[in-house]
Amino acid sequence: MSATSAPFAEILAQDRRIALRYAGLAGTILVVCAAALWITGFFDAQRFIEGGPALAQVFSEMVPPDFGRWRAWMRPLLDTLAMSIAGTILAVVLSLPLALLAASNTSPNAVVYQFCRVILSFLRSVPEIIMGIIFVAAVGFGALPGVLALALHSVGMMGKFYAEAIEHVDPKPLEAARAAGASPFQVISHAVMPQVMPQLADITIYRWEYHFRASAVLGIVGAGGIGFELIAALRVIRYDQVLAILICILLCVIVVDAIGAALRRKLK
Amino acid sequence: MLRVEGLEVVYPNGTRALERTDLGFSPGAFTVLLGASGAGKSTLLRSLNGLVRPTSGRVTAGVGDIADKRRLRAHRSKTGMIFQQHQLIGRLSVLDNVLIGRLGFHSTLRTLLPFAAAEKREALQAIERVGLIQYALRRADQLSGGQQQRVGIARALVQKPSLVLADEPVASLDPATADRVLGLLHSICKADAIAAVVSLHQLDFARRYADRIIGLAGGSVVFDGPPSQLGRKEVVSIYRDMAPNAVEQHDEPDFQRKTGTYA
Ligand SMILES: Nc1ncnc2c1ncn2[C@@H]1O[C@H](COP(=O)(O)OP(=O)(O)OP(=O)(O)O)[C@@H](O)[C@H]1O
Ligand SMILES: [Mg+2]
Repeated sequence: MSATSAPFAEILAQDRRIALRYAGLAGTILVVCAAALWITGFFDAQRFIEGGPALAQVFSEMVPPDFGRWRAWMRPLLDTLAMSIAGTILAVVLSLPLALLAASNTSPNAVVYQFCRVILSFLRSVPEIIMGIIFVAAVGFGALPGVLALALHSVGMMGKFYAEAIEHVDPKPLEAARAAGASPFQVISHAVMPQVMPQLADITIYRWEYHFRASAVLGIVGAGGIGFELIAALRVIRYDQVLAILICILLCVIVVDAIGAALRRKLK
Repeated sequence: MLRVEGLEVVYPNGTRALERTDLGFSPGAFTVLLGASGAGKSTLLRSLNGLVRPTSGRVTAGVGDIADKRRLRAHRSKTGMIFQQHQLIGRLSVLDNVLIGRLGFHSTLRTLLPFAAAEKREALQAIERVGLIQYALRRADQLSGGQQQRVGIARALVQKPSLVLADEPVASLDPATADRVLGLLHSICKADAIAAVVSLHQLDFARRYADRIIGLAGGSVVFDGPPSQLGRKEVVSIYRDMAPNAVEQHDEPDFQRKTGTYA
C-alpha cells in the first residue's frame, strides 16, 4: 500500500500545480479584460446615468417606425443585394488564383508563396470602409465603389481561408493523379479542387451573407445601396425612418441567411 | 522495356533506402517484390515512375531516361499505379475517380473541358471489368476497402497501361478479399499482357502469382528468380533483419504492424 501511495501523492501534487497554473492564467485574462473595460470608460457610471434618458429619447422617436417611404427604399435594397452578389463573385475570381499561389502545397515556390501571403494580409488589413472612401473618390458615388471595396477586402479574407482549406487536402489522391501522368495544373483541377469544393462554397456563402450586411454600412460613405438611405435619414434626424430601414435590412438579412443556409445544405 | 541502372536513393534525411541496383523488367511479366518493412520496396516502386528521384543512376523506359520532364509524363500516363490506401477522392463518384487515370492523355488546356463521352465509356468498361458497374455513380467513400481497391485497379486500367506498379495493394484487406483482389489484378495483367511489379508481404501470394520474385533486404537485391527457386534459405536471407522465428509467421498479412518496424 505504502509503495503505491508515494507516486499517488506525487501525481496529486503535480495535478495541483497544473490547476494552479490554469487559475493563474484565468486570473490574468480577467485582469486584462477588466483593464480594457476601464480604459474604454465602461466603469464611468455618470455617463450611463446621463446617457439613459438620451437613449430613451431616441428610442421614443424611433417608434412607431415610419414605413411611408418604403417605395423609395426598394431600389436601394435591390442595389445592396446586387452589390453583395457582385462583390462576392469578384472576390471569388480574385481569391482563387491567389489562394492557390498562397497555399504551400500548390504554390510553385517559396517566393511566390510569401509574396501572395503578404498581398492577402495587406488586403485584409485595410478595412472596407476605408476602401469604400478611396473608391468613392476614385470612381464617384454609387454601387460600383461599394462593390470594389467589398471585393478587395474580401479577397484578403477569402484568399486566406481558401488557402488554408487547400493546404489541408489529403495529399494521397494528388500523388495518384501525378502517378497517372497529370500535369501540375491537372492535379489542381482534378485532385485538389474536388476535395476543397464544399469548404470553398461554405466560405463563399458565409462571405456573401457578410457582404450584404457590410454593403449596408458602405452606403454611409456614399457607396450606394440602402446604407445611403440610412445615413440620409440619420442626417435629417428622422429616427422613425431609421428604425423602419433597419427593420427592412434585418428582414433582408434573414432572407439572405436562409438562402445561404439552404445553398450550403445543397452543397454538402 | 523498363531498366534500372545503378539506381541509388538516399532520402534528404540521410536514409540510404536503395543501394546501387541494376534491374530489367520485361513486357508482360508479373514480378513480386518481397522484403521486410523498410527494405526499400516502396522506394524502388516509386522510383520506377519518378515519384521518387534517384540520387544517382537512372531509370529508362522505352526511349530513354525518365528524368526528362516530357518523357516522364508520357511514361507515367502508360504506367498505372495502385496504392495500398487506394488514394481515391472520397467525395467523388467511382466514375470520376477512375477518370483521373485519363488526365495524362489530356493537354492542360483540354483539361478545362469535361471528359469526352468515349473516355467515359472506357472508364465504365474498366469499372465493369473489376465488377463494380452497379456502383459507378456511387461516392467512393461509400464502398468497402476491397471495392475501393478495385476502383484503384480500374483507375490504373483506364490508362491502358503497359506497366502496372502496385505498392502493397492488398495489405489492408482481409485474407479472402486480398486473394480475390490480387487474383483479379493478376488475371487482367495476364489477359492484356500488362507487365506488373507488385510489392507484397504475403509469401504464399507471391508464390502463387509471381513469374519472378525480387527479394530486397536493406536496400539491396538479395534474391532474383522464379518462385520455384525461392527456398527456405532465400526467404531467410530476404527477411534476415527480422528475428528468425518471425520469418515463419511472415505469411500473416499485417505482420509488420504487430511486431514493429525494422528500419
Ligand atoms: N520520404 C522519406 N524520407 C526519408 N526516409 C524515408 C522516406 N521514405 C522512406 N524512407 C526510409 O527509407 C527506407 C526504405 O523505405 P521504404 O518505404 O522503401 O520501405 P518498404 O520496403 O516499402 O517498407 P514497408 O514494407 O514498411 O512499406 C526506410 O528506412 C524508410 O524509413
Ligand atoms: Mg512500403
